[in-house]
Amino acid sequence: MPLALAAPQLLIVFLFFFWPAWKAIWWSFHLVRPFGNGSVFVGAENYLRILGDESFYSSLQATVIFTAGSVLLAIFIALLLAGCVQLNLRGRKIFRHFFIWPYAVAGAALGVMLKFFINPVLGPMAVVNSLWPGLWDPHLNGSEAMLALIFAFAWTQVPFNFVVFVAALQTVPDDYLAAAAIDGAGPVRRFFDIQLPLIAPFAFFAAVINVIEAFTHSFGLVDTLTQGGPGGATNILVYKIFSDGFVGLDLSGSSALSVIMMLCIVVLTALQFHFFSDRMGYER
Amino acid sequence: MIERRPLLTAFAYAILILGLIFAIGPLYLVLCSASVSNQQLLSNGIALLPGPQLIDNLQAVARRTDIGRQLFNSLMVSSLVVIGKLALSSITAFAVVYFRSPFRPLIFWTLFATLLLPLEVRIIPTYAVASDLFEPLKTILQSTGLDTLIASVAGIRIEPSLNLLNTYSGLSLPLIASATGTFLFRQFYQTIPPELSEAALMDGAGPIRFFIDILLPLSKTNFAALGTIVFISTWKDYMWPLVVTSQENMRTVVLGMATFLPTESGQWPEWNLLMAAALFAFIPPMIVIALMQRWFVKGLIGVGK
Repeated sequence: MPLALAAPQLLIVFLFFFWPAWKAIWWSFHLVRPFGNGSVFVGAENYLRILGDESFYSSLQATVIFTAGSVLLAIFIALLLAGCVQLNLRGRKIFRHFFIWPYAVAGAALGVMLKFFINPVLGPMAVVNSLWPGLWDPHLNGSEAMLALIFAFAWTQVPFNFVVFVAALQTVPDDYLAAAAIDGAGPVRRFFDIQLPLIAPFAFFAAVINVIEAFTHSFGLVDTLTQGGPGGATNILVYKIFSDGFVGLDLSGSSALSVIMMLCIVVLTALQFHFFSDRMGYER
Repeated sequence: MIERRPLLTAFAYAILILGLIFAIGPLYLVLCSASVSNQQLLSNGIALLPGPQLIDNLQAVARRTDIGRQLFNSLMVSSLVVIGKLALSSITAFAVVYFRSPFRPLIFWTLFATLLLPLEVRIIPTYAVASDLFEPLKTILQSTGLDTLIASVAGIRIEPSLNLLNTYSGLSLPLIASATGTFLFRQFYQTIPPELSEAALMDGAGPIRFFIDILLPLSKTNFAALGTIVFISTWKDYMWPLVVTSQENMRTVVLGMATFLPTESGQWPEWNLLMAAALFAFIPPMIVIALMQRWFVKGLIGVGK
């Protein structure tokens, strides 16, 4: 009976999760001709080819910069906003309401919007360019494109972090804060010495979720905003897997990349689940 | 909260107002640029005040692409995924919590493993499955030699094939399995006192009856919270619709908007129409957030996404 009830979900998981994942692992050890039959077992050759390829390391570097930059920025902004909202000022409900609106904007939609905003001739940066010509041109300058990407992705992650931090701050007992206030600690001191340490596990949890999102869900943003360019400067792993596989039709190489990325996700999910089981009372 | 500090209050307001500009400033700019003519954008740069042309631009977008159809597709796919996810998660959690069975760890770890396999890392083989749903079955039959056995015994060759590309089931089926949703319901069912199921058993209700008449009504808030999050994140999805649809009439609105971008031929896009198309893509989920705020926040914390 229980197996019968769970069967529909298990079938879907098998068809769309396990089978494709197995297929990716299988492809990564074979030389596959795109979407046709016939493949040769080549052992670790695909992996060696990738690990010997310059573009893998530049992609890895771009991924690390993108992830670290956007996650740190998103955590910082959300923490600042949650801390201010928690001061019980008038009108905080209105702020709390609007701060989560960006969650509605899809990465791909944001990419299209930003394409316009970062335009060196039309967008807000046109002012900068009219003063110092050529200072801002993300279509030519890789680090400027990366900067735009980091800000954009942080923008999409702030609402989630904000909600988590506001909930986390509400778990801090008022007594602690009142006692500290009587001892003469001001609001800023209370934030750094009491609230921040107590919500640190939540910040860690949010950060891990952000990193997984940056690894996977950044695809829409990259595809509409930079397409990995200019010159591969924003060609992060998730985009490289897609473009090597679907555009370059290199199934073996793309699959080997997928497997490498799966390993990263395994580590990250282990971290996340460690937190879940401790904090949220999920037993294994 | 405890004392009066005018300086700190002023500073906090300044931060909050900056945060407000950060959060909805870009949305405001999109609205402004969607309501002026392209000429004005090209000569004056980005619009800082709303213009008179919003309705005209929205109509122009509707003339260029079948925006009604795209909105319908998005609504359809998001609703299917919400229904599918809620149904599968609650039923699976019910099976795990209320039945003693040796398969419990199997079900649990199978679902847990899905967390390790985001769509983005298995995109190409998942596309292969969607293009022929029976491909796994065929491969298993072939590799075990069962197909020649069946062919020789029954005299027929099994060549089933089902293409899900450009269909609503193809757009939604791969997205409806949910480990986090199942864990959410599992955790909720565990807080329900066992006396309830014992009483139902005593009154002669079978497990299915208990699930439908007692558990489902109790789970209303969980359904609302999870449903809101799933609806919004499916609406925002870009990669899977991009891969699985090739026909224009199956595109979702987020995908349709992205294709409004000119391709690399050096065309100068009509920015005002592009911004108007972006409005179509993010206004509907924004309305959901505004109306369902309570459930949205609850779901966001519960599901972690």
